[in-house]
Amino acid sequence: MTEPLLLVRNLSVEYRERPLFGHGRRVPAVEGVSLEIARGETLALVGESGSGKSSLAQAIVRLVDVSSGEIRFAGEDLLAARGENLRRLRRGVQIVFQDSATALNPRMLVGDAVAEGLIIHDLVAPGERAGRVAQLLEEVGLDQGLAGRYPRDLSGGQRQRVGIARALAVDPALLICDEPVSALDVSIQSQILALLRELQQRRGLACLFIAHDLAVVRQIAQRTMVMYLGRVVESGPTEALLASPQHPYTQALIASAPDPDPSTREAPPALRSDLSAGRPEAGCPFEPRCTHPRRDARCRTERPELNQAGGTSTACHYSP
Amino acid sequence: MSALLEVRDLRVRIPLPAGTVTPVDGVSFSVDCGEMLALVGESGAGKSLTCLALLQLLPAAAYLASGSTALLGGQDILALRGEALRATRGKRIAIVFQDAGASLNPVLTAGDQVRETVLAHLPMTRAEARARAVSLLGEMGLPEPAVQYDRYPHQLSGGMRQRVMLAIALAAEPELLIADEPTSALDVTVQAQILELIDHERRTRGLGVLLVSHDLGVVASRADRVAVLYAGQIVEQAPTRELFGAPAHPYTRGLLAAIPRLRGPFATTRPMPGSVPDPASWPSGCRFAPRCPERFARCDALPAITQPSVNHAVRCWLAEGGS
Repeated sequence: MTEPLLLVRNLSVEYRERPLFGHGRRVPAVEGVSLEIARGETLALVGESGSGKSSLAQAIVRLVDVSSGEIRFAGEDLLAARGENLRRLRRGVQIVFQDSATALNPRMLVGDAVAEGLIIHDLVAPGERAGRVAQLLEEVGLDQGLAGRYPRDLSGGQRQRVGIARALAVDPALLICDEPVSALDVSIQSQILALLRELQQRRGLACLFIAHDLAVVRQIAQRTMVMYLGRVVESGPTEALLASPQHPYTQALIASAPDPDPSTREAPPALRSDLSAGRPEAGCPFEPRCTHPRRDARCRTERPELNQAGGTSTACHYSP
Repeated sequence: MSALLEVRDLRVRIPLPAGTVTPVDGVSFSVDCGEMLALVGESGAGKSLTCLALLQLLPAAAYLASGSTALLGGQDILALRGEALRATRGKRIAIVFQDAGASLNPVLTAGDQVRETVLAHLPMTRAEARARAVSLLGEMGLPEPAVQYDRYPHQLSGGMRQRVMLAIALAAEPELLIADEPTSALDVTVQAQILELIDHERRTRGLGVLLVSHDLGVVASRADRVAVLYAGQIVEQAPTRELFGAPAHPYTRGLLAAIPRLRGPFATTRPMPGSVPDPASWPSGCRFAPRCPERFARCDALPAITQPSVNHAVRCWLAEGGS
């Protein structure tokens, strides 16, 4: 078997609180997460705010430090890479952020923002830069004339396209999209998802797609991993996971999604509270919000591990 | 019986160097007691300006064109000034915005901000108002409300902040709640909880709700009626089931096709090209025509409003019956 494009093994990320006095506690953001992405494949990471999705993404592009674990990209150890080597590997992994308004430098022309990667990685001769930028803008469905505008002159959807063009400029093999459509209108969301699908087909791009909305994920990802408080609670092929979700958290996420059908009357909310409900020291991280009928003392003392059954894996003592 | 809120010919104008624009251009709708009307459209449609206009909170440069009226229980709330305006805002009509983080005062505790509203509108002592604030926070689903009372907004999650906003909005038991994209910045799990809180008030005490959203999917199972706003005009208005079952305007159909669906067989969404143009460049005919897949010669003229059925109004030449 060929090695996957991205391999993450047992990755943990933790932050240290910085109180005014005394020592800060260590707060785990990602705990023992493993994943693989093949070339051209899209894997979705799903969970609520605070589930550790973004920390995981930022660890993969080395924007935050990893406390333990392994990340290999195209067979090379990403965490050990330094200097020129790291720069070369980073070219292969690009990231698109949720908030295109703050991700782009407000004082930089759109064209310059897109050209930045070309310059840093010395990809095209200075004379050919403008032409390449125009090509990239066209590829993401933007008018070439926008190269001479500032981000503030653009709509949210247009700015997100600029963010994508910027990422594509260095011809990456893996695109990490961190909630790329969450801040956009549904109509614009649909445009950006169509663009991402098209780019993947044309360029054979692999994608790690982060979102909190399973309906959006279904549009783009072949496989989905559900995260809760830094841990993977369920993963599998997207359609299988949606058709028969095993983990009570996945079930609740699906039940929470608004149903665009007026003939159904909304059921009571499937989940109470949010992730601030608490982080148990031991046991299942989801236990404080869990509504599983068999939930018991074991859930409060023993941490469930991911178990594979059929095509999907679930971390729950009583599911499936 | 007359409606709780009756908005007629609402027009917001903004003078710009290049000429005056009218980003809200003749909007009319009504909300009954215990009814939820959804106002749906993309960014730039004029949804938020409509909300702000109803509360006289328009940005300084913007003004209401004469002829704009909004009757709340028969009283024109656009004509209120001074004390009468203060007594109405917060007491009879309240609003929650999308960004609760920016709406709350960062240097006051969550509870004190709720108490402030209680004190402003209800005849209570400070201690009574505090107790009422704690119970409101609890009703809004804040765990340990007496503890959360003393938290500052930055110590709360986005969902918790929106619950505080809702507690403030509902503190004086208003007749009408305007919810301007109240859940667009929140996780789907919290979104469901917040919408349920609003819906609960509607069911139990007859709160009238104007729910503003860019997402038809979010309003489908909650709203009684839907008004679709495009480029400052309502292009279609109907009971929710009818709007979803028989959408008459191509824009409504485009919005529906863009919703990603979780249930049922998989289908990719069909994106509608383009976005809402700038008010300065709205066409003189049908404003949706440049993006419309079904446009024809007649669309150069502004369509009249037609009624496919009694409660269904649409602004499209195609709906006129035989094009």
